[in-house]
Amino acid sequence: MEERVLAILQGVRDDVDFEDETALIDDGILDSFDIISIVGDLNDEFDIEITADELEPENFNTLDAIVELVESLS
Amino acid sequence: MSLFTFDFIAFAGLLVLAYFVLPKRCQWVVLLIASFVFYAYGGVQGVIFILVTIVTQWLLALLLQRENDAMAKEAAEATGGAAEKREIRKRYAKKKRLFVWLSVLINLGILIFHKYANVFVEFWNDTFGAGLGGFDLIVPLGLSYYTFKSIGYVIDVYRGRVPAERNPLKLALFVSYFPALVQGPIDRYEHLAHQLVEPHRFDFIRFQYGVQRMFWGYIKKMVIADRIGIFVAEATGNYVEGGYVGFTVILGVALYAFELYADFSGGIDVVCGLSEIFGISLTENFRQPFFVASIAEYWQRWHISLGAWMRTYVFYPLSLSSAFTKLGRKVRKVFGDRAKRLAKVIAPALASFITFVLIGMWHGVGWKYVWWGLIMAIFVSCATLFEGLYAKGRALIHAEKWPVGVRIIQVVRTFVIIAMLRFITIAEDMDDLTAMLTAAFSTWNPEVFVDGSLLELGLSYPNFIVMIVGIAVLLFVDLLQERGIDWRVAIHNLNIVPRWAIYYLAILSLIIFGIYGSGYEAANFAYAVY
Repeated sequence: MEERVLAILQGVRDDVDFEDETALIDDGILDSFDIISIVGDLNDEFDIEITADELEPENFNTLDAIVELVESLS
Repeated sequence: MSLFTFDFIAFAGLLVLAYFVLPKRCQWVVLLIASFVFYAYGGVQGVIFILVTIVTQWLLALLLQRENDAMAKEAAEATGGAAEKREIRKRYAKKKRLFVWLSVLINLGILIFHKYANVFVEFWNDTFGAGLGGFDLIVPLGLSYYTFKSIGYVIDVYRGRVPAERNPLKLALFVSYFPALVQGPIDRYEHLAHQLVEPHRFDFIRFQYGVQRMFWGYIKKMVIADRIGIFVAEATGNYVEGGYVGFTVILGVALYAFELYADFSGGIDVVCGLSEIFGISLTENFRQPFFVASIAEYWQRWHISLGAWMRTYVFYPLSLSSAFTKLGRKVRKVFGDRAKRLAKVIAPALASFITFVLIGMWHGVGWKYVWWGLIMAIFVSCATLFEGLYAKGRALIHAEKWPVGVRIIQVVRTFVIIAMLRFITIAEDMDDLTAMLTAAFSTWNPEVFVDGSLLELGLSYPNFIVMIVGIAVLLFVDLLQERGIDWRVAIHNLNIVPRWAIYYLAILSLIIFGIYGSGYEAANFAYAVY
């Protein structure tokens, strides 16, 4: 799962080291357009529905948090 | 009560005393009473509206909580797995949305009524020749700030993110906390509410930092912003025939960008500093907004709490709504893989147009605010849509070999865009804007920078120098922050002599260089009218 999520993240932003960053949102590394792109790809790839309710910094600040979010909705 | 009166300073001083002298369990009650005293000081009419907001949001949030609890219970008892739980959530969501819509309609209704009722009457009279009388309205203090804050709270309860507050007085404090009433910040419930009701011990270091920040806010507003304001009002207020032209107007508009920043962030520093003394950390509203490389980045650093509110409660829900996601799929279907990027960007781009127009309309009534929002959205959307093109451009000029130079160019470019968009903010209406742009760009007169004519716009030579030094200090402090240096910690760590030299310099500069209006009141805050 983690590799698939990582591939999606790198597909949207290949200039970010997703494995080491710990504040993707809080530090402004990902902007809101990136988030929408990532959510669209995650929804398609895992056949889930991430809603606006889940778009909070703590769910997108790290790769682990994103993986956890996807797992909770799968 | 303006933050820049002796009344306010006396009020704040007494409040700090009462806050720390009375038993800790009373602290939040002290803040609540102070908030209502502060509020009533501006007129009793406003109190009625804020009470309507407090009562409706308290009740609706409790109703939402009841639904949340029932939903959780039913989901816990369900045996059909994830699909059944999804079904339960959907069923409850329908009813819950009704409460959210009620909250939005009532509270946004009050806001829209105050902003648009007279505009509507005027429009009706102009169109149909009717003679309807206008409303005698006084916009309640901080109306849009507390409305947004409280709607955010109700939506967060709807989402199950925070539990509803059962004590109406505690919710009243969250909505009406007076430092954040004047011009924000628009804090989220989960960040602010618990801090307001927790007991706080007196902490001398925190007190010192709080006072320093308040002081810096006073200097920003009274020494820098109000001084720039004299020049700006003259340079940008007289551009009709025979008035100022060319670089005089352009400089006035560019300086307005600094005036607004010093004004708005100065006020925020005062309220954040005061809150810090109480042990309450308000959300930061600015992060060096002039050191940004793009408009999108600017919106992550300017009026952060409004941007965050709009992103959380308008932009994301719109972007992910089924209508918008369907649109993206349709683009992909019609144009194929060639339009892959467009298909991805179309939904958020459209959502950003709506969001920025709403931000524009939040600032005021009139087409100019709509245009301002549209232009902001164009810049933000284009940056994403044409990212590939920009990357090619950067490769062409080997941008990776001179990153600092590229960053400086981007920062200057962004400042020019931000400052030029201030033409729209300053102009009264669209006709005024055309006249102003014509005056500014129809004449080439760089000689104004050397012939002394800029010194005839209300600021004498010494005052002009103080203004320039003020802006330089403002940018220097921002540069320190940008490099991760907290100036207050740096001052705290200095030896007693240089530390007190700075304090005396700050006190003297405020006394000598502060712009005091009639009755020793500084000019009103630009952002206190929203």
